[in-house]
Amino acid sequence: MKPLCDDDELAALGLDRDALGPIEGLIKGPSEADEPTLAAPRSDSGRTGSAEEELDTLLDDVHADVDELGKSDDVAELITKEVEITRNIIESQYELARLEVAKRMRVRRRGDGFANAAKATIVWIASEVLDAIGLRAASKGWNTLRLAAADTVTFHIHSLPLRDLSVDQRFRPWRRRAALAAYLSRLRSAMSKRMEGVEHWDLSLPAKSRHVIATTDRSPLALLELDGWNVRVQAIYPWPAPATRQWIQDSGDTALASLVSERLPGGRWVELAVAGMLARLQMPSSGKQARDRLATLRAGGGVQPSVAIYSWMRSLSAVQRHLMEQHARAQASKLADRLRSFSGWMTAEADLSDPWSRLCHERDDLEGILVLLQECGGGRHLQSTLRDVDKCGRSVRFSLSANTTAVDERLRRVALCYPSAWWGSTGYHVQLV
Amino acid sequence: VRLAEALARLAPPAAAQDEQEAEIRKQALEIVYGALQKIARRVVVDPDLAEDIACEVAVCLVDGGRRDRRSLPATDSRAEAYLCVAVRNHEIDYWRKTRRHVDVADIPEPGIEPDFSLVETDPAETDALLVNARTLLYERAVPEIAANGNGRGDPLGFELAVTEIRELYHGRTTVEEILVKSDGRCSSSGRNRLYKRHQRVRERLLAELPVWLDRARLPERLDTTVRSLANVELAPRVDRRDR
Repeated sequence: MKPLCDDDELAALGLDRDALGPIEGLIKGPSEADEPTLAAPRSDSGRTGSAEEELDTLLDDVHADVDELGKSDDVAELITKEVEITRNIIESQYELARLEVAKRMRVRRRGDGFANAAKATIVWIASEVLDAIGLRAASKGWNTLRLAAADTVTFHIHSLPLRDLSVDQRFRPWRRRAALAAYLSRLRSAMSKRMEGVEHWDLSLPAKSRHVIATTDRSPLALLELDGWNVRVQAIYPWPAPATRQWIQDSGDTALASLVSERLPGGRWVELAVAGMLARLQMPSSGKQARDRLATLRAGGGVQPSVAIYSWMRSLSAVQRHLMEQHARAQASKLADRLRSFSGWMTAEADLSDPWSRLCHERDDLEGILVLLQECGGGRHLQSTLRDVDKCGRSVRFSLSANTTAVDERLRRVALCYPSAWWGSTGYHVQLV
Repeated sequence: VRLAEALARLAPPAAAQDEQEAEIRKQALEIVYGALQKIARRVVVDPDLAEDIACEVAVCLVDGGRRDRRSLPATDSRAEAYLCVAVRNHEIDYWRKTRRHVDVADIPEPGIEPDFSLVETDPAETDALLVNARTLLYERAVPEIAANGNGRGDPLGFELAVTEIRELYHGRTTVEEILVKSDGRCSSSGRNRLYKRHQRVRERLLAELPVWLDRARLPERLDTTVRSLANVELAPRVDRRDR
């Protein structure tokens, strides 16, 4: 997908490309056409077409295959579920939120008539990015966006200059970065709006416009792009880049270093997850090394890079750590939903090793972030969200069939470090009850 | 400081925010390491290996273990069982690394092992504890959980499913035998139906058994043994394949 900001604009905002998260494509209302199309979602892989149509076609094909093979209804149901959940797990970024809104709009259109409904009703936009930063957005019509926030959170919205949204070539009125910075600065003072102490805020925004949602101290949180009824939201991870490469070098654990190096470069979020892995999953390679390390710990010493990673976490501002936690909570909620789907999809003989391993890795990423936050005295909200995830995860692991295994190096380390981790390797005992 | 509390305090002392916290972490490490040494000596035959494993587990728990009380064992007895699982896992890991046990079947199956206690106990006492725990789990906890379904499901069906799961664990029956008895034949759809039924029962047990145990206020060791029993006998077997 085309990014919401170019490099010059990011630099002017004090950001780099790694600080940008995935883009969410949403719909804030019907399309401009009189007969609204349900969705034209485009996944990151560049596929186009309605996700609903695609799923219908997929399921029709499956049913046709099942009929041809003369399988029973039970088997058909299982295969159907399998297809559905594979799609959910593998293509989780497939703009389901957008579909959800589109479905709601369709229901409304069937009722009172679309035009009236669009004017009279508020359609909430399901956005994980906005959820993570504590905002909810709703459409109140063609050019009005309603934003609602928890009363403890305050926001600024800065408008960015419009670029040509219809073609790939971006419209750049500036040749020099200084000119852009001056332009943005002027925009900030003239157009920035402050949301404080109000339950919701109705913004009249041009149908085609771009905005930066920021904290009151101007720390950017998300990018918002409006193009008619289409809304694109991109998360910003506004903490500085961790010294991941250095920490990998400092780690004497070559197997772990190799594991985490495979994930880099991957953007700020992945770097954070990697920091969590490096801090938690180092293991002594021999009995002698274990004895030496324990002696160091008992003497009050530390093992690198864990100590450096925790120091880096403490160097971040409270706002940055709060946002880190919020983004992690959004991921945790998504993971809980996927675990519930996975649970419904399990069968006696299906080999679900790959999707199960992916879910375990995602859970472990969140565990790493939780431990980093806990070292700074935080993480309570994330911990509470993870309790729901773990309830579901434990239940799935308690019933996992023998054909589904997760035995890679990372999960082996998890099982050895935390005997109650449902997401650890299936090759070891786990204490679930 | 008790063992359960020490477990939640484990973290690298050098990363602590202040001197006081560093000291607390060091004390917690001493308590947990002491317990690990005793457990490892009991579980692992070779004394040198037992010491290596105790050190390795302690290091792993300091770096990667959980740090909040609610996610960790609530009582000392359960904390001992938790450390016992950790020691056994590290022992399995050692076997795999050294390839002393070429055949997976040589690795012992997970046992209930109620003898996780740090104090020496009479074997007869341990056996009696296990018998008592079995009676409590299957003759009191399961029927009471089945009866308190608030209209959900069929209590007799729930108890039957628990019996089936238990019999399957002990190898006293097979999925095929259960299906032939109930459906008259063994089919793929029947196998999946049975699996789903057992899954629902396990989900309910996992949610309701800890609540039942908290209400029952059993002596610590008995409580832990019932939990370990359920953990081993009612979950599918641990997959020990080393891919």
